[in-house]
Amino acid sequence: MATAPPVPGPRLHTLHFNVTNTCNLGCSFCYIDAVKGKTSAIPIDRVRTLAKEARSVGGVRVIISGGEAFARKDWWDTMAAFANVGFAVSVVTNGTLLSEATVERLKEIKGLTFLVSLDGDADHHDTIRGQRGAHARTIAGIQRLREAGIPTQLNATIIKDNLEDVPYLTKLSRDLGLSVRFSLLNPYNGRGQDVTGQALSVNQVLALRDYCHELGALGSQVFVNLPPLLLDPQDIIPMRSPSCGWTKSYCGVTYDGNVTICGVAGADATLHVGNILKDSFADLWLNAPLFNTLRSLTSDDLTGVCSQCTYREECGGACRLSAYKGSQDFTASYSMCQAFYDAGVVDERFLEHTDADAVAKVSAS
Amino acid sequence: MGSQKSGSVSLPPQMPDSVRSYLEKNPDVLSTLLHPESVQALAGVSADADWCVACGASSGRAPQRPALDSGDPFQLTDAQIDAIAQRVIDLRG
Repeated sequence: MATAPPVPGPRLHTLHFNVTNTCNLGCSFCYIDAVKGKTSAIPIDRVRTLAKEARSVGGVRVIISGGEAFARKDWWDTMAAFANVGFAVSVVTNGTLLSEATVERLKEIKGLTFLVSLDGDADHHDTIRGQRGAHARTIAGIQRLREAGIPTQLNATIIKDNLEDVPYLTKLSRDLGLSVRFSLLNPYNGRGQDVTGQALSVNQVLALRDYCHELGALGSQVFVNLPPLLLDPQDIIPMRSPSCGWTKSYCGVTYDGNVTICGVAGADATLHVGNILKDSFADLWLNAPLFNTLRSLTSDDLTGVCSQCTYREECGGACRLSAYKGSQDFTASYSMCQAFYDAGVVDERFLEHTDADAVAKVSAS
Repeated sequence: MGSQKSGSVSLPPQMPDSVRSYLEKNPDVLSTLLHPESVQALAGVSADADWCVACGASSGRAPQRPALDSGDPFQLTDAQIDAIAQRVIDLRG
């Protein structure tokens, strides 16, 4: 970006660590393609040194996810390894393994926050998650987190099959006093590629956006995870909207040790820059050629509708993984914004100029 | 963001107080948000905020969203929620 001060060097903020690829559920759209069987895992001693290395290059927050994080037998030691060196620990989980004893142990870890996946009522949730009874166990786990006073947010991935459950999730948010984030299908990774027909249409996304806007104005804590160009300005919260940072401050480590551009890129081996079972994490973070290439890019390099967007510096083109997966080009426009632009539903007030020939359908070219 | 590039523009009412205070003291930070120091600074006042717009798997807690008009807690009935959903979602889906 033209106005940014000189970059002093890559300083990690958030590490997304998929601690296992084993999961007790079988979600139809799993972005990491987790499996029910046993998978390899990074030994706990290496996890501890990873935490120290990540801290040494600036890390302050770790996102622990899987697979299912609690499917790893030494889950407590894994989380504590990061908390003990000063990380804030955010755990992403399906919530089904949060027994009373598990939550009691979680209380020993300071600074924990939770994101629990819940996709609708029992029928839809269990169908999507591939297991009858999963909904009931997830609700029980959420209740235990609440009773333990552990900050918790719910995430619902909204597809065509569960769009009708949005009111149910709104009521649940009200009754539990918890925020519910509506995320959209990631069609580029893992099993998401197998269910692209389930992605919401442009009209459905707009309807969900308007619903959240109206409910939010009435005090509801439901919101939809969209880039700022597609939101009402009143619904934009800076820390909710920035991009991944193009590996300037964020990267991922897979269950088997591969270091990659973010927490959802693990399934694509072409984006692995090294492996912590062989290499120093800090060295990979500081020197990986792919990371440094991404860091050399700025929002001014974005193409398509992103090049005209007044939010581009703050948004950074939303998800660069999506751009890459869709076009093999890290500077391509964010596909959702481009699709909305091509459909003629982007608010022109937030485009710097409207040279339609320059921005239209770039993703298709 | 575009509507907030100037410090004179009002910030969204649902913004956490800690973030609002920081932005009011540092109005230029939004124009350099991709810079690591800006990210660090903002994250320091709201460490548990959301991170990635696309992956949907990166947060532990969202900023609370008080009602924009009165600050009262969300009190719509089931029927009222269903009515809004039917009007906004069902008729357009």
